[in-house]
Parts: sequence; structure tokens; C-alpha cells
Amino acid sequence: MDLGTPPGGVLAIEAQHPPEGNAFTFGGAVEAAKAYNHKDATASKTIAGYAVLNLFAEYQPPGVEGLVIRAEVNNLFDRTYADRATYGQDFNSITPLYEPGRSVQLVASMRF
Amino acid sequence: MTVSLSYVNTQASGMWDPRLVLGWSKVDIAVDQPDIPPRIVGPGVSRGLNKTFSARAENRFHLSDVNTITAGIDYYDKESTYSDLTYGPVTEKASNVGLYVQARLEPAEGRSTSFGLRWDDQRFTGISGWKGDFSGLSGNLSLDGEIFLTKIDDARDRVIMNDLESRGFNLGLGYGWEGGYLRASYSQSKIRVNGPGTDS
Repeated sequence: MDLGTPPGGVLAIEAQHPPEGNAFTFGGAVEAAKAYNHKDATASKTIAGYAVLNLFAEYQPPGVEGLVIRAEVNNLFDRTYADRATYGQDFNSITPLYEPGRSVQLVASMRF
Repeated sequence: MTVSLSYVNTQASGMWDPRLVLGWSKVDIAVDQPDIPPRIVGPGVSRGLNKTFSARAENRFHLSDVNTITAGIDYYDKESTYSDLTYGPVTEKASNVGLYVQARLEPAEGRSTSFGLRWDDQRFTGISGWKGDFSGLSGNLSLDGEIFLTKIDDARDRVIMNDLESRGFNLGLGYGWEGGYLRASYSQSKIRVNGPGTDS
């Protein structure tokens, strides 16, 4: 009805840890949504649940003040999914806007 | 008929805050079960008599204004009797002793957690005279978050006026340590338009 999306249950877990004695930080996140098993108003289908895993590793070279090199993999298992807040997932006639599949990034940043 | 007595000092603080509750109840219900001609002969009057005694004694330890630990003992003794013209009277009884500890902590403003442990011993006597004695431990953990409710009246969708309602809750849990952290959040929400749920 164009007045709101039904989000249902959405879960996020995020953690990071720098093991002692080296220059690395490791972390990851899970983004998940529960299956939405209602078909209200003019909806033509229910919405499947999803769970996506993102991982990263950061390296801070001890010799260079402020430099961080970060490698990350998002959507590690290459799930095809639309964020739960995306419009149109409950209609057969609409292909929702999917989030990116597995993506790999290497980022170097310098703070000064 | 129900009688209950309770004692609590609402001004209490520190390590001495005893609370006491005693309750007695007796409920007698009789329901007519008349004949329904031509085939069904009713059992006259169904009568159920329930007697309960319950007691609870506990102390609340105030670690601070918002952090408390409660420890106590509770007890109940129930007896139920049923009878009608064709059956009974039959009686069953149950009594239970419980010991419990419950912590309610507020580690950060607006975030509260509660967890506890209890041990129960229940003695049961069935209508046949069968007796059972069961005991066990149980635990609980709850994390309070936010509950939200938003109502919007007369939202216009083309020429139609609609009343919207969004309700749900957010739960958050976080733990941090030197350089690292773990955070989890869960959000459950439901949106309604003009009463029932809606599509996107």
C-alpha cells in the first residue's frame, strides 16, 4: 500500500578482536532476517529469511603511524538477497533490488 | 474468597529489605448441566472446589539504586475437588517449595538485564491416590531493550486516508574488551494499515 514495508525480525551481530602481540585486527558481522510468513493486503507471497556473513582483517604496520590496510569480504557465501527493508519483495510481479553478491575490497587508508 | 497479607517496606535500601506475602483462596464453582432431550442426560451440577495456600518470603539486596539481587523461598499447597451426579467426588493435590535467586542489573542507562536461578520440589497426589515427587533447577535470562509504538492518523495515499501503526521492539547486547567488542541486536516490528497488516 506504499505506506510501509513489513520488516518482521531482523538480527545483526558484529565482533572484532585484535589478538595480542601483533598488528592485526580481525572481525566479522552477520546480517540476518527471519522469514516473514504473512501475506497481508495485496501481497502475493511471503518473504524468505536470509543470513549473510561479512569478514575483515586489518593490518596496522608498526613502522607507519596512521596507516591501516584493510581487506574485507562481504557476503562471503554469495547469497542472493534483498535487504529486508527493500520494497516489493512480497509481490511475484516485482524483482526487488538485490544487494551485492560476494564482494572483495582492499583498502589502504592514512590518517594524518 | 481470597485473603492475602503482604509486607514490604517501600523505603528500604541497602542489604535488608524483606518482603513477605501470604495468601489463602477458596473458589467454589457450580455449573448446571441440564438434560438435553431427547438423548442427553445431564450430570446434574458440575462442582469444582479449589483451595490454595501460598506463601513467599524474600530479601532484596540493593547493591545500588538500580542493581538488586533478590533471594527467597516460596511455597504453595493446592487442593482441587470435582464432583457431579455421576462422578466423584475426586480430589487431586499439589504442593511446591521453591528456592530462588534473581538479579536485576542496569549496566547502562536504559539497558537492563535480569537473570536468575530457581530450584523447585513439587509433590503431587492424583485422583487415583498416585503420588509423585519431582524436583529440578531452572534458570532464566532476560535483556530489556526498547519497545516502540508509532501511530500516524490520516496518512494520504493518493486520495485515500489511512491510519498507520508500527510496533515492535529492539534488543541490544554488547560486550567490549581491550581493542575488541561483540555486539548483537535484534529488532522485531509489525506494521498495520487501517487495522490489519500490510504489504510493501
